[in-house]
Amino acid sequence: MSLTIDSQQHENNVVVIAVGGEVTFENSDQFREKIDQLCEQGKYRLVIDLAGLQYMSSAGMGVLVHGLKKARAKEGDLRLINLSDKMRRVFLITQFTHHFTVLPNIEEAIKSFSTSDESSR
Amino acid sequence: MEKIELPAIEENFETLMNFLEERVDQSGLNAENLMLLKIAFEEIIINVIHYAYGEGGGPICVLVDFLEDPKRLFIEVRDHGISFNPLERADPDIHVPAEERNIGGLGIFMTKKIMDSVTYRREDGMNILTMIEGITEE
Repeated sequence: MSLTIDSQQHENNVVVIAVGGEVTFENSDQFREKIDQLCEQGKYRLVIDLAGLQYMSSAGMGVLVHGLKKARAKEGDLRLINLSDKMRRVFLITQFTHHFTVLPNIEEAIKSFSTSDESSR
Repeated sequence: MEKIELPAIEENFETLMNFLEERVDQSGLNAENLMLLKIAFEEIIINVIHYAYGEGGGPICVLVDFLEDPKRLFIEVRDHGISFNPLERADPDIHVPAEERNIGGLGIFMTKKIMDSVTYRREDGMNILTMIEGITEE
């Protein structure tokens, strides 16, 4: 079961983490470590790109909540993009749609952080 | 009915997932329901791998069958570990803010929501968890 994780720095100090393949209990630590590593570098504006995601169990959902808590504790956030219909159903079951900001694409996600900057001025 | 029995250890996780996948891929379930089914199955087998046995270990047995009238998928997971009904675990409060959310229990909660039926019984020294999912022809 393969998992790919790629991160890319964007403007506004936003980091986009593209998660592809399958997130299971077996490999979810890799995902958690990536988020922890970015937080240690002071990156708290995280966007998780789920376009390439085929499968995510509750282990992966736990990592998303972990990242959300860490980011928000430092005035940042963890936002989601490219949520597929099948993943949306999982998010509805767990009511995660109420907790996470879900945006359609990278551009919108980066823009959403600059809007947060303006509103906090 | 098809069956696989292996030691309930993390090293066998992928084999168990593949066993299910190979049997349900052509079942008529759509991609969305297949993913949900895998999520439910993963939660149950992880539960056995992590909690059924102490250091001595023991087997996990998975049975898969397709039932007719109405068409449905039958999955049973058995272990000889300590008596434990995972369905009795309290559901997590999914309405509290994310920052306060405790992720524990989410997997079993998802399993109960995903499957049409999930039942537990203790029989002949075994924990037996049975999951049924209806298959709608598309």
